[in-house]
Amino acid sequence: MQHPPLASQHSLDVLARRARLVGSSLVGPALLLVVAINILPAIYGFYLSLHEVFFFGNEGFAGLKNYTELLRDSFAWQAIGRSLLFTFASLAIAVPLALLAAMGVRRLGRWGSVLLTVLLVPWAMSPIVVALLWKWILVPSPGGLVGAIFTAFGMPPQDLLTDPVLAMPTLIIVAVWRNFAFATIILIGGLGQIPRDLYKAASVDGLDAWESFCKITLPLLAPSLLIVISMLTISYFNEVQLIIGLTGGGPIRQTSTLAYSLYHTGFVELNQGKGNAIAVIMFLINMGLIAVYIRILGKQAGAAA
Amino acid sequence: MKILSRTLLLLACLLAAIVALGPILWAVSTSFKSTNRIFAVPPEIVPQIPTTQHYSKLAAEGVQWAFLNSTGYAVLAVLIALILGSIAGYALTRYPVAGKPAILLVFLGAMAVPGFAVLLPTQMLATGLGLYNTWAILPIIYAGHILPFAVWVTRSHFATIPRELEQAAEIDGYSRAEAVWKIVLPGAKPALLAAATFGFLHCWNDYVTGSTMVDSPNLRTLQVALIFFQGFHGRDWGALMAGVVIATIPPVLIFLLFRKFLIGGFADGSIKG
Amino acid sequence: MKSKTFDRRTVLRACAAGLAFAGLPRLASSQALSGTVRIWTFLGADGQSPREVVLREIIERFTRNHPDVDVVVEAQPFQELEVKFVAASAQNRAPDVIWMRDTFLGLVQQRGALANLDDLLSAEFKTNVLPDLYPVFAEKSVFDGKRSSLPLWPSPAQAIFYRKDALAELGLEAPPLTWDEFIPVAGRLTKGDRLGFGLPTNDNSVSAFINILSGFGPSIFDATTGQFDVAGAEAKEVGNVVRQLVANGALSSTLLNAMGDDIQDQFASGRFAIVQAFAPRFQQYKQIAAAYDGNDLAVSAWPGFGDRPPAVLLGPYWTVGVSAKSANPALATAFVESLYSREASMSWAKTAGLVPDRMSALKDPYFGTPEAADIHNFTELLSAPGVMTFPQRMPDITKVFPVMNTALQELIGTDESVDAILDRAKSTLGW
Repeated sequence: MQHPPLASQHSLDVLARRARLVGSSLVGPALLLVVAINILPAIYGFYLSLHEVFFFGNEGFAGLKNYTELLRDSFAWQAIGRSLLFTFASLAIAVPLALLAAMGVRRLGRWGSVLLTVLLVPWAMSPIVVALLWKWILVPSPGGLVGAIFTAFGMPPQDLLTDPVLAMPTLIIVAVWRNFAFATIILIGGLGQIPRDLYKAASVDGLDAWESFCKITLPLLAPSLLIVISMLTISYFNEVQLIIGLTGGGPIRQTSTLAYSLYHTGFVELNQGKGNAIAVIMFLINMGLIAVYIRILGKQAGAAA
Repeated sequence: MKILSRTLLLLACLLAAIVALGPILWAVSTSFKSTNRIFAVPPEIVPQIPTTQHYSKLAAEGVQWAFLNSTGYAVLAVLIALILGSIAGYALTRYPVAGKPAILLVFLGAMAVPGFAVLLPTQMLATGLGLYNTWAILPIIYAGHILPFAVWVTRSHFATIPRELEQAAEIDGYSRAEAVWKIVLPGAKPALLAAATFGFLHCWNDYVTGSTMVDSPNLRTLQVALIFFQGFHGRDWGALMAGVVIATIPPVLIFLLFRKFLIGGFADGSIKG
Repeated sequence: MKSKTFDRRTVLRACAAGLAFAGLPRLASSQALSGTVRIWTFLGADGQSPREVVLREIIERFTRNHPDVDVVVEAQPFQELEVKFVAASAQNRAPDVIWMRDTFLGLVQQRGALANLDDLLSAEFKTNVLPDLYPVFAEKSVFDGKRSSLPLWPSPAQAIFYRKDALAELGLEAPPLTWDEFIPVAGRLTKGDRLGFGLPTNDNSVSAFINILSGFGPSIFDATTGQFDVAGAEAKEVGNVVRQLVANGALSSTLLNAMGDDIQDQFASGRFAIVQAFAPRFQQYKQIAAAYDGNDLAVSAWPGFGDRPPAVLLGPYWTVGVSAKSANPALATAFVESLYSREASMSWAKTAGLVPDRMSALKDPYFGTPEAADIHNFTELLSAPGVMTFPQRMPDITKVFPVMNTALQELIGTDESVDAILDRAKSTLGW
């Protein structure tokens, strides 16, 4: 921009004010929409969480009763425990798998991108469709796909979704199946930024593949791994459609995570006050996770600069 | 040794591909079996007597209209979000904006709201505005969902494009808007297309919002329409799997089309959150 | 060609329970009907299932008689009808006519969402049709003297389905009707991959626990509170029955949170000899049978305890109401009445295999034909001595089924004492 050479303080103020006005009015529409669709309803949800609301009838102000009840409810704590189990077990499988896939894809070259595309197909599907699909695949009958595989190995079909021991692991595998490949994309990006010379130097120094993986790949990939871990954490922590579709929180509450409790309390029991209290708690946890995520990104950007 | 490890790698990849695609191929196979063969033991991997009855059933019950609705909603929502989002993203990198940190916090906070939590209040708001059960409500809500992400992506991308490029164009006699249109936006194409792909998948794959904001069958989304085949009479697996196949085609297609930008966008680090 | 008016009159007259003149005063007013009726049901406007075909027929007949009327069917997922309706009613956008489950009637009525049908039903409907409906269902819709809905499709809800071929292996024709005899039979029916008995224990609107408990008769529900004694002697007896069924291998301890749909799928592929099933799905069960001959499917009441009669718990069943906020309640009511015409009853029966709503319709020769054998079996269940419904105002209706199902899962899948499990269920319900 070319400023007039002899701008007075006054005209600079006018310019600054005008720029501020233009800037704000350009951000305005987007901000308005986001506030209307996400923030206002969330505030109303918070308001409801302070009331006793059942089946769309507001029975009055309840203070923090919904929250204190949750804190005293052992099922709610169990639900948080199961959320942690579901989230971290899924992470523990998804991240190494994604790393393995990312390294495989890079090594394969042209075929690698075909493989990546194939792996990403489940990620493009909706959770509700994935739940339906897996419910069908896991039908515990010799006529089901997985049942037939068991039968082929001389075993009876297993009740993978209704056995209290197997239900959670099965759910975790389906959740990982759906979205681990998304993490692969980010890790491929991270691997691409590691200078190849480092590996050459390592092999000159006599390091074997495993040693160079531990000493070069892992440390240099750490920023990408952190991004992947925080994104997947948020995604698994909020997973609910798969649980509704596959196990409905059972057997014996084994798959009732906090996200599922939100659904069950608010939409099945129709205790909308308490349901919103769970939502507020989940919002706070999500905010915390996102804050960590942003901090990692900030550090990474700082390191790159 | 080298050949052995190469073979092992290929085998592992093949296995991975089977695990990823096997379930979907099983759905395709089921969708072409007649109802009384669906539970057959042992299962028919390839239908012995293929039938298209389940696809005809979907068509007879008007699922194709739900398919078009979903497409329309998603496209509209993505357009709204990309236009408003890139304008806001540009303004946030180039202009002084009142309360910028607060605004950024609002966009962030919006991403932390659990989807299920806001259904009831959103429903009341939509009814109050007279938008409930209209064709406009879902594109608006979806746009609101994907906007924070669109703003985030475009903002971090615009930040990497030097202001000098625009200024050079302005010296050449372009207006500022033209300079943005001709210089800044084309450079942001990968980021915009990546955001569009994400946005499309979000809209297309939504179930809960679609099921709580419209009641009329002719405004219904595909995901909601499919639930009716898991209804009062139990599950109609043939129709459901035909539905799964149909519901999977558009997102996969979109993904294949824009794969380069999506993967490229992440791989070169131009999209960070 | 007959004139339009004449046509309309004859049809309407037929609707009026076959009594020609009782309907005449009503006819004059019904000709003036115009406008739109919006209906929420789980049946789709373009659906292919038999019920949907019949509904279309009824609508066509109704709009033929009332040319200025538009009937709009907006299908909703069947588990969401009540919730969607009450939300819509609170936000002043409710449909005119609503299908819902009887178990939610008390709550929906309490929210003031349903019109009082006493003010709306025509005189001839009250005199001729109401007394012709099954009283056990019809009377449940009357709250404090006000009728808030009309029951549709009389049927037991959760019944016992069994395979005659499996029972024949033990030389039996049907499962025994007392628990003492049922338990060993169910155990002996477990063979190879097949289980003797299958229970859905993860549905949010039914629970096998309450169905087994119904073997003690209608007295299980407290007359004033509508509660049952969750940790009482009778409930403990239910717990013992379940434990014995697990011990003798009739129930599987790894099949804990199956939904009704899952049980249905697995029954088709031969996993069970006897199951708890949603009775209105009888025809569907027959259609998808893969591992046995669909003609071997049969229905039974639930066993009773001691010398009590076999139990038939009627509910949740469908009931139809008019919205309190309908802009045209007269038209909405006229449409609802048309669901109960004699032709409608015959269509529901002949096309969809349903027990006719009008008891008098059973006199039709059709019900003596072999084609109507399944309907005949269901009508027998409806007139069994152990017939009962859920209490009119059952408390915590949104919690009681999930809580009892979790208790049932614990009874089947753990070694914890029956007392401890039931005490926990009781305290979760706060009863």
